[in-house]
Amino acid sequence: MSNPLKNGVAKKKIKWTDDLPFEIIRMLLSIVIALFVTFIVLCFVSKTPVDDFIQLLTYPLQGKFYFGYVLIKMVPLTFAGLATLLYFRTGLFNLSTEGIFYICGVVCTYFAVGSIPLTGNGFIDSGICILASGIVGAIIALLPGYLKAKYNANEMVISLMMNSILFGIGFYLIKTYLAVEGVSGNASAPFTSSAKLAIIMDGTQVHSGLILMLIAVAAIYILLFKTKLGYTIRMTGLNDRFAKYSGMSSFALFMAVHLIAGFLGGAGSAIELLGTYKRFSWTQLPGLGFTGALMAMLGKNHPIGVLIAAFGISYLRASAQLLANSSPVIDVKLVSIVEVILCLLISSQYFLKKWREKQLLKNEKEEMKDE
Amino acid sequence: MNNIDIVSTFFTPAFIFVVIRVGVPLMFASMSAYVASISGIPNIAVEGIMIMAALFGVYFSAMTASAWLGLLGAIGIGIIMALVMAFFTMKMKANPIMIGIALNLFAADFSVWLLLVWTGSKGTTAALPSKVLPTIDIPVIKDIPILGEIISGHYFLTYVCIALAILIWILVYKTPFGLRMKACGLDEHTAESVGVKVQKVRLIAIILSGILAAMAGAYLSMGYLSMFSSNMTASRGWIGIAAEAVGQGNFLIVVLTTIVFAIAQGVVNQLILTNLPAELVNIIPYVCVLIGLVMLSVREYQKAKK
Repeated sequence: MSNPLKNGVAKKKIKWTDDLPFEIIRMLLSIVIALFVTFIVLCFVSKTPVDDFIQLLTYPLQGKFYFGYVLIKMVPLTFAGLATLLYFRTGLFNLSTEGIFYICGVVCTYFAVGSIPLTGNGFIDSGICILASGIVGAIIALLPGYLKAKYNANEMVISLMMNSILFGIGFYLIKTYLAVEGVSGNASAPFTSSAKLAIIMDGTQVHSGLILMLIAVAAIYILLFKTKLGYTIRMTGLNDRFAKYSGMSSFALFMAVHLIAGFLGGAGSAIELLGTYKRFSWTQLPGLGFTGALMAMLGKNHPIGVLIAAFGISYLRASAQLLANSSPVIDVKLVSIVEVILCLLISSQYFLKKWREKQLLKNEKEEMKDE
Repeated sequence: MNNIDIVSTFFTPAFIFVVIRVGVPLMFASMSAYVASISGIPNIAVEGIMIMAALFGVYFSAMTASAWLGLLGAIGIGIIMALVMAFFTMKMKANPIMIGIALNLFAADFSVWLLLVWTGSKGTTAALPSKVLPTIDIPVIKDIPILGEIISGHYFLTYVCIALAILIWILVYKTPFGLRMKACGLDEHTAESVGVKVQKVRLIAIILSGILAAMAGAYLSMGYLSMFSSNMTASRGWIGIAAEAVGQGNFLIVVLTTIVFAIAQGVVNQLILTNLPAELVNIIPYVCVLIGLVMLSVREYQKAKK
């Protein structure tokens, strides 16, 4: 990032064409375009598009409970986003967080329904479930990690195949060993109350997972920007030969990244389940892991960015989900329009580039005149 | 299951018929991934294009009461998605992998939303009066004992798939355009320096890729099944991409790999009828793909070591 003070031109104003303001303009314009397209789509299918659109944008602000719903929706998205961010930062296109979310949910369920004696202490019991899920997630993530690190295997396709495999195994385990009679579908017994996460805000569903989420964001921030491992991760993403020359073997680096990302995925899954579900009832892949890729993209592979992206997307998703009962055309899936347009525009290097270049040229000319 | 069962289940014309039936969408997906990949823009949105094409095929056929217009509509959607991919990767310089991931996510969710708006349910389009593409009995061959049982009586798109596979082989290996595609894939600057219009070649390849993926989708919802259901592609597009990765630019290996995956899928279709746990049987094709990819990588690794 260019720092005007550094060049001795202390008086220089911040211009829209500087890196950070330019990024902000790009983001805002992308959001405006994405929302505008959503509005157009609503015009086609809805009888009252303006009302629907305004409702979609403001509904979560109309009550404490609704806003709390936004916050709890954020938690799994942020965890998945952080996990995927680590992969993307290292230059790995690994999407296995989806399958890890599922299988670790199964692991968490195993502990949370009291298959092993629990202590009854809320802090310890939920801790055991989350840690167990996280550790299993980390171990599972090591498989694609090892194949990538040792044999340079195509991690993306492998991770996608793994998702289907993990889902098959997980669903089999649920159906055969954990499902109980008397509930529709294949659902487990209810989680033990001591394993569930406590509600931290009265009148909402906001649970202590929100705090864990903030801790995770901070931890990944510190990892990426304050440690040697983080530096290696960032540099390897920019230039894949860096790890080799930096003295850290790329083998160790890839393994470490997969281990941490797998842990985040597993822990995120357990936190989501223990925070918002009564029992395990996923009969298909929950889609949260894939959304993690979206969060990483929208958040520009930055932990804080992921947090903001998760908030923005959760806001719209929560709003759409809450409105789904009252409107025939609004559904959480409608938000995919916003998501895809944001992704396309934000990953486009040339979006607004011409405008920026024109502005830079103009500024340059003005400065020459002044002199 | 004992040995006699295995023989009577798997070494029959009926089994080969099933393999062809389940293999066609995989083959379309592989070809789709292949043509895009050799011209230098990996199209990982195959899965997403398949879903959208499967849905729009059903929708258009229900609207127009014609399976053929439905197929055209599906192909149209495939081309539109391919153009989005081309625009953002070539004009806006976005990473094709990112664009692919975004389009896949979009297709998976948006198709469910359209389903909800059109039918009022998130499950299937069973409520829509959609049409299916016809099956074709080949006049003389259908009367030949075993051969007739195997290759006659498939869907129209099955024969299109076989014809396209031959045409693509000819296109890539026997025509100047195929050479240009490969040149763009190997090194775009070198290709440009000898006068190849890289953008144009890639655009054509991506559109072709979109059409192939769209046919895979149309096959699933207007043949294989007579309706669209959410997530009906079930990673078939990704299996195509995996086959392409194993083939590494060699079309014959891509085709052979796809056939192996198709056989695995055929085995699943037979085993699912037994009392083995369906969830575990279903993962067989994915395990095969995983093993295929790992074997490829290990071989490459050992080659590089020497």
